Amino acid sequence: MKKTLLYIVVVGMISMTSCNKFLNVVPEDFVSPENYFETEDEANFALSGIYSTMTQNATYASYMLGRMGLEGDESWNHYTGDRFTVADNNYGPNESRILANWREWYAGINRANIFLENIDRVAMDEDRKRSMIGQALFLRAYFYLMLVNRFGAVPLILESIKTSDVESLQIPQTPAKQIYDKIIADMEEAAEMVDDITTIGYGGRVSKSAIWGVLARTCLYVAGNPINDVSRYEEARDWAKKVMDTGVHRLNTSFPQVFINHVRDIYDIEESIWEVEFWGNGTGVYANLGGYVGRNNGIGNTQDPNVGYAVGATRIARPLYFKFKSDDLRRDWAIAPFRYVGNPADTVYWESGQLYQRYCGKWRRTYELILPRSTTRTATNFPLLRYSDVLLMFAEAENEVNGSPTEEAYEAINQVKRRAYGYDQFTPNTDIDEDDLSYQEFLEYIQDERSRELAFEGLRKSDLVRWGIYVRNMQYIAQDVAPLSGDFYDFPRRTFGSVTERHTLWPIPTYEMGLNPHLVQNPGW
Amino acid sequence: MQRYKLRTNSHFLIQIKKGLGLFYLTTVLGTCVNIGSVCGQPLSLAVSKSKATKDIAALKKSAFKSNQQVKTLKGKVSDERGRPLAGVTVRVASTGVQAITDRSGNFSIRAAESDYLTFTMLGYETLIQPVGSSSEYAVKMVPISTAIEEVTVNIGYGTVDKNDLTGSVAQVNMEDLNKAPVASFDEALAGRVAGVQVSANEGQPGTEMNIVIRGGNSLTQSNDPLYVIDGFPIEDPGAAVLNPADIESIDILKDASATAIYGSRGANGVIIIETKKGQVGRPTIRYEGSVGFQQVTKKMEMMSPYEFVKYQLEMNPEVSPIVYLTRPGRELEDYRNIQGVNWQDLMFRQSPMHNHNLSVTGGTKETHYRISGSLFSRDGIVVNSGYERAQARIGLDQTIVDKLTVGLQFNYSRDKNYGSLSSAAQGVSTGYSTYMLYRIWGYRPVTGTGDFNDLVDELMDEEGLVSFSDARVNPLLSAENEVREQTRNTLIGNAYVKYKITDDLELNIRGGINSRWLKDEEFYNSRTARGYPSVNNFKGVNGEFRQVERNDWMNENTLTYKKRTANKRHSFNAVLGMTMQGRQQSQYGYEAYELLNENLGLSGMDNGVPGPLDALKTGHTLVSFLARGNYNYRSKYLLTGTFRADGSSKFAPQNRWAYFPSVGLAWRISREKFMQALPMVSDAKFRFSYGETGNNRIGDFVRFSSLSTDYPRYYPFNNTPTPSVNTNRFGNENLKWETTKQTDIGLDLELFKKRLNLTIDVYRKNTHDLLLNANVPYSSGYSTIYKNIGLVRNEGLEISVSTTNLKRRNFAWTTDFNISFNRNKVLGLTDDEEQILSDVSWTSTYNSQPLYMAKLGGSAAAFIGYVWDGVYQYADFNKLPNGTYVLKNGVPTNGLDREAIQPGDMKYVDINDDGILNEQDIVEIGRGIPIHIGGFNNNFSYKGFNLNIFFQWSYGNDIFNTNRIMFEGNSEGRGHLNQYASYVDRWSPDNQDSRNYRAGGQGPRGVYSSKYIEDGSYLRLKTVALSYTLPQSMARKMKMNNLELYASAQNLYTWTNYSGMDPEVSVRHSTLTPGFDYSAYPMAKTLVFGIKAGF
Repeated sequence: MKKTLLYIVVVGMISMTSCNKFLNVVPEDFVSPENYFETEDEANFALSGIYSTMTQNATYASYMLGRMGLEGDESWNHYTGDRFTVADNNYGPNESRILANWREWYAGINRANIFLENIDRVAMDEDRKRSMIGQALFLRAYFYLMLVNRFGAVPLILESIKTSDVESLQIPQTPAKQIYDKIIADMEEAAEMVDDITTIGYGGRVSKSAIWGVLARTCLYVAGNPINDVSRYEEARDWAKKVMDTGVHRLNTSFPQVFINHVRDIYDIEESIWEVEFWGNGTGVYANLGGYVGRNNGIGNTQDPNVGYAVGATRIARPLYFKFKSDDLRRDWAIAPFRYVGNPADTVYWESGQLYQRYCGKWRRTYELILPRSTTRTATNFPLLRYSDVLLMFAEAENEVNGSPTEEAYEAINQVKRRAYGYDQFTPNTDIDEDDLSYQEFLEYIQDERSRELAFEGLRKSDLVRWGIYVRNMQYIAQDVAPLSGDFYDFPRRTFGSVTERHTLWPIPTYEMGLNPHLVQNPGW
Repeated sequence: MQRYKLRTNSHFLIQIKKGLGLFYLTTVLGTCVNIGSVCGQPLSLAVSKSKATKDIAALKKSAFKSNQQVKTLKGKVSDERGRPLAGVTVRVASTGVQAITDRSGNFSIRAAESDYLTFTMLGYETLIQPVGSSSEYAVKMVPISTAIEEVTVNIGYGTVDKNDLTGSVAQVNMEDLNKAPVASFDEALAGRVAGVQVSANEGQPGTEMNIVIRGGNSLTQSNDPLYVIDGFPIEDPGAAVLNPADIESIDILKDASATAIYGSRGANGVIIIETKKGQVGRPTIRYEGSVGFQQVTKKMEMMSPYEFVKYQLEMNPEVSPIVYLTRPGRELEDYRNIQGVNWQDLMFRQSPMHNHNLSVTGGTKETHYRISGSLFSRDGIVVNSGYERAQARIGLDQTIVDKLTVGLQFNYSRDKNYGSLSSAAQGVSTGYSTYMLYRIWGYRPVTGTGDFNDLVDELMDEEGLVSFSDARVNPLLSAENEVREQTRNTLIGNAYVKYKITDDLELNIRGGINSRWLKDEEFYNSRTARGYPSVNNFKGVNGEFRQVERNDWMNENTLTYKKRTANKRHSFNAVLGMTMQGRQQSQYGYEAYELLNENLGLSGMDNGVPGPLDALKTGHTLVSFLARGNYNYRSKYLLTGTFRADGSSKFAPQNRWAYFPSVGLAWRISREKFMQALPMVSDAKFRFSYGETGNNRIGDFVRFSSLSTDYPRYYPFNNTPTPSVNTNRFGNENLKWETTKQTDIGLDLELFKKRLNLTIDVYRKNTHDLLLNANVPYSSGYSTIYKNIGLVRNEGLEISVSTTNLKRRNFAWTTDFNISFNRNKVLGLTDDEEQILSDVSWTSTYNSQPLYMAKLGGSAAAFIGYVWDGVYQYADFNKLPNGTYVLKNGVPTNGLDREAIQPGDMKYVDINDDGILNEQDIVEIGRGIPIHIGGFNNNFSYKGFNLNIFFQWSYGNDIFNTNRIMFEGNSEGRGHLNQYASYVDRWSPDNQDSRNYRAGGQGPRGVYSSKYIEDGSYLRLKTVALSYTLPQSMARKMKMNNLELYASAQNLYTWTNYSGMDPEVSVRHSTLTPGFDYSAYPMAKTLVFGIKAGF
C-alpha cells in the first residue's frame, strides 16, 4: 500500500516535469509576425498586404465609388439598397458603411505598423528594402489622410498593439492638424526612399511622382478649410512642380483614352500616376481581385453580357452638365449621353431634359478585354492621382501663393483645357486658352475645372470642404432639384437637401465610441 | 480475505467474507452476520431489502465448521416457471470453484457437504444454497422483481449509490428514451431531464441538437456540454456515431460538485454515456428493427391562384394585367377554377425510415463480450435529402487473474447526410432569394400561359423573373440535381486494465482513441441554383471537396480506494488520478469552377478552373491531475470533496495550469430519529454544493498572433496577383480559463413508500473571466481579440417529480414530470462596453442591422427592432385637392420620406417622439431565451401492453419569423412572388381594418420590427409508443426468448401560436442569436412499426 503511494508520487512528479514539454503545442498551420519577415519574398507579401487595403469593398472596390457621398455636388447615388445611408447623406453615427471604411483604413495602418516594426529583420538588398519601407510609410500616411480628411481628429496610432490591455486599445484622438503634420512628414520621408515612376514602369506601385502629387493634395487640404494653414500653399505648389519637372509626365492626347486604359488594364504612367489595381472578372481563384469600377458607376442598365451589366448607381447632378461647354470633349465621355435598354441591349439616348438620370460614363464596360463581362466584378483600375490633377493643383496653389494667376499657372490649366477640346496640350491656342483672370475668377475656374476633369474620381467632397463651399454647393443642387416632380427625384432631393454643416465631417462611428470612451464625437452628430 | 460481491445494485450490498474459517454476510449498513448458523438448515436467501433483513436477523450467532468431505454433485437450475436456465454461474463459496449451467440448465460441481453454493445470473436474485447431503439439486431462481429501484450513478471516474450522491446528477431513463424513433440519443433527449435544454435548429437530417445545461455561460464560445463516452471525455463526439440501442446509461452532471472532476471542461455540464457491455450466460441474440415513414409537421398555407393573381394585379397594376389577363385572355375570376402548382406538395414527401439492430452478447465468468451492428436510414422529407448510418460495435472484458481485468471496446460508424442545406444561401450570390424555402414558397403557382408543366420543368421561370438579381430557381429541379453530402467515418476505441492492488485499492489504466474522417462533397451542375449558367454565376458548373481528419487520444490512470471503519459507521472512498489527452486535426479541401463536362460529376473537377484551396492543421494537449474523496457517516451525513488541476496547451505557460475545487454536502434527514414521526417520508435528503469549473473552448492557437495569405487579399501589381499578408488575429498571451462558480441547493424526497419521488434544485452560476471573442476598437487594426472579460450569471430552479399513480396486479401507471427555469443575466462585458449588438447573416439588406442585444443587466439574447404599429390610416393624412394624400404634421414617418408615405403603409412607433423613425427608436422587442422548459412522461402498462406518452415544452421565448418579411407582404417588392395565405387579409381601401400593410406598402427596407416577433412557446406531443410483449410461452413456440411488437410516433402534434412551420427553430443559432427563422428545413413527424426479439 505504502509502496503503491510512493510509486504514484514518483510517477506524478515525473509526469509533472514532462508536462510542460507535452503541453507545448506549436502551431504548424500559420505564421506569426514573430517568425515572419525573414526573406525578401515575405517582406514583399507583407507590403502587398498593405496595398490590398485599397482593393477592399469598404474602400475603392465598392463603397468609395459613389456610395459614400464623396462626389459632393457632382452626382448622386441611385441604388435602392443605399437609401438612408451615407450615400444619400441621410445617416447617423452608426452608419455601417462609414464604420467599415474606418475599420479598413485602420486594418491597413496596423499592417503597415507591423511591416515597419519588423522589416529590419529581413536580410535583403538595402536599396530595395529602403524602397519598400518608403512605400509602407507612404501608404500608412495615405490611409491617415483618408481618415483625417473625412473624420477630423482620429486616434493616431503609429505602433502595432503589443497587449490587449485597455491602455493599448483605447487611444484618444489626435487633433487633425497634428495628424496632417505627421502625414506630410512621413510622406516627405517616404518620397526620398521610393523609386522613380520610370523605374517602376506602372502606376500600381507608389513612386516618387505619386508621393509628390499626393503631398501637393495633402498640403492643399491643410491650407484650406478647416485647418487653414495657408503657408502650405507654397509647399503644395512646390510638390506639384516637382512632378511636372520630372519630364516624365504629360497628359494623354485623348481624355477618353485615359479611362479606356483603366478599363483595359493598360498602364499610362505619363498621365495616370497612381492607380488602385483591380484584376480579373470575378472568376477563378482570384475572384475577389476584381472591383466594381464601371459596374457600380457605369452605364445602366442592361443584363446584356456583350455590353456588360452596370448598376448605374452614379447619376449626375444637373449643374455638372452645364459646367461643360458643348465643345468640351470631356462632357459626353464623363456623362454618358445614352443608356442601355433590354437584352440584347439597345443604346438609347437621353432626352435633353433628362439630366439627373444620366450615368457616369468614364469607365465604359464595352471596352473591357476580359470576356465574358461578368456581372460581379471588373478588372478596371481606379485612378488615385492623374497628371491633370497635378497641373490643376499647381495652378491653384500658384494663384494662392501669388494672389493672382501666373504665366505658369495659366499654362498648367490650359494644358488641361487644350487636351479637353482635342488640341495639342503644349501648343498655345488663343481660341480657348484662359487668360486675364482675377485671383477669384481663376480660383472659381479651377473649382469648376476640377469637376469637369476629375468628376466621379472621389475627390470632390474634399475639394468643396477645403474651399469652404461644401454645404453651399450641395444646397444649390438641392434647390435645383426641388421643383422637379416625380418620385424619381426623391432620391437626389434627399441626397442634396439633407446636407448641413455637420456633414462636412463624417461622424465617429457609434460602435467605435462604444468601445473607446476617449473618443469625442464630431460637432453636430 | 476474500469477498464475493453478489449484488451491488441493492440497497444492501451482500457480501460473503471468508475469514478464519468462518463466513460472514455483511451489508453496507454495517450489519455483520455470521451465516454459519444456517448449518444444516436449508437456506434460500433472496437478497431484497426486506427479506434480507429478516433472514439476516435469523442467522445471528451460530457456529459453522467446514471439515467435511468433498463430493461431486449434480443439479438443474430453472426459472420461476420451471424452464431450464442456461448460463447461471454456480460457485462453491469456500473454494471459489465454479461451473456454468448448460442449455438444459444442468451443472455439475465438486463441493463439501458443509459448504454453500451460490447461484448468480444477471436479472435474477442471487441464491445461496447449502450443499447438504443430497447429490441432486433442483434450484429455482426468481427474477429480480422490483426493477432496479436503487440505482448507481456514474459520476465520472467511479459510481455511487444514488442515495449517497451529494451533487446534482440526473439520470436519463433509457428505457423511455429508446421508445422514440430517432437516429441518435440527442434527438430524444429534449424534455427528459430538468435543467437540460435540448433544441433543434431545424429539421435538416444529420444536424445535431443544441444541448445547454443550466443556461449558457459563454457569450461567444460554445456552451455544449462535455461528453464522456465509456470514460473518454470529448467535447464534440458527434452524438450520431453512437447507436442509441447500444447505450446502457446516460448520466448528466449538472452542479459543480459533480462536474468539478472534469475541471477545465466541466463548466457546461457533463454527459456521461456508458455503452452496453457483455454479460455472463449463453449467447443471447437480440434483433430490433423498425420501419416507418415521416412527413412534414406543417405546410404553410399559400395564396390560391386566384388570390395570387389578385395580389399581383394590386401590386403591379401596369404589368400584371398584361401577364395574367390580357395575354392569356382571362378574367380574374377564371383563376378561381385553376388548380395551379403546389410547390410544397412537390418538394415535401412522405419518406421512409428504417432501423435495424442486431446484437449478440454472452460470456463466461472470465470473458464477457457483446457484438452489435446497426443500419439506419432516413430519407429526408424534402426531396433528395436524408441521413444514413452503418455502425458496428464490439466489446470484450476478460478477467486474467482474479485481480486483473482487461477490456476493450470498438465502435465504428459510417454516417452520411445529404441534400441541400435549407437554411443556407444556395446561389452564387447570397441573397434572400437563393434560399430553398424562399423558392418553394415564392415560386408562383400559375403562369399567364396556362401551361404549368413548363413551370415545373424549366429551371427558371423566365416570364416571372423581373429582376435578374432575384435568383429564384426552380426548387424541385435544383434540389433533384444538387449533390451535397457529408460522410463521416468514426472509430472509437477504448481499452482498460484494472488491477486490484489490495482489497481496498484498485488501479485503473485506460487508453482510448477517437478518430474521425470527414468528407464533404458538393457538385452543382447546370440545373441547380448554384451551377446554372448565368451572368451572375461566376463559378459556372462547380464542385467542392473537403476532407477533415481528426484524431483524439487519451490516457487515464486512476487509483480508487475504499475503506470502511471497523464499526461500520464511517466509510470513505477516494479517487486519485492523472490523465493526458490530445487532439490532432487536419483539413484539406479544394474547389473548382467552370467544369467542362458536367456529366463527370465531381470526378470532372480536374477539368475546370481551380478555385480556392483550403489547408489547416491544428491540435492541442491536456494534462490533468484529479482527486475526489467521499466521506459518509452512516449514509446520513455525506461529504464529497473534489479537486482537479488542468494544464492545457491552449494557454501560455504562465497561465497554463488552473485548479478547480468543489465541495458537496448532503444530509439524509430521513435517517434521523425524529423523522420517524413522518412515516410517509421514505427518504429525504438535503444537498448543498459549491465549486469552480472551467471552460477552455477556444481555438487551439488563439493565443498566437497569426498572419494569413488569403487569395482575396492578393494585390495585382503590374497585373500579376501577388500574395499578400493579412494580420488576421492578435494573439493574447494572457488568456486563461473561464471560471464558473456554482452554488446548488437541492432536496431529494421520496414519499409514500417511494410512490412519489421529488427532486428540487436551485442554483446560481457566476461565470467570470469569460473567454470572450471581445470586440475591440477597430483602430487597433483588429475587430475582436480573445480576452478574459465579462461576467454572466445563470440562476434557476429545477423540479423533477416521478410518481407511481397506480400499481395493480396487471395494470400500472407511472408519471415523470420535470420543469426548469433559468434566468440569464449579463453582468459585465468588454472594457466600457455596455451592450453587444449582434446581427445575423442572411441577405445583404439586413446583414448589418442588429437584431439582438446582450445588454448589461439583461439577458444574453434579446430581440431589438422597431415597434410595429399596424398601418397608416386615412385619418393620418390630409387629402389634397388633387386627390393625393399627404401625411399630417405630427404623424411620425416610418423611415421613408413624408411625401412617399401613403394610407395602408407599414407604421412604426416613434419611441422618442421626434417625428421621424431612426435608430433611436429601436427598442427591445422580444426575448430569446425561454422562461421555462420541461417534459411530461406517462407510462401505462396492462399485462403485455405498454403505452408511453411523452410531452415536451418550451415557454416564453420569442422567434423572429423572417419568412414573413418575404411572404406576408413581399417587402422586397418582388414581382410574381407568391405569398402566405395570411396576406390575403391586407389593408386596402375596402379592408381598412387589416393590420397587414397594403400591396407595396412595406416602408423602408432592411429594418427589423416587432411585426415579425412571435411567441415561440410550444407544447409538443413528442413521443407516443405502444408496445405489446408476447407472453413468453408464445415466444417460446416461435423459438424466441421474448418478442415485443411496437408502434412509435415522434413529433405527433404541437400546440403553439407560432405561425411558421415549427417553433423549434433557430437557423443562426448561437448564445447571442437564438430563435431566428428563415428557410428552416421543416420538422418531420414520424411513425414507425417495429419488433424486438431475443433468441
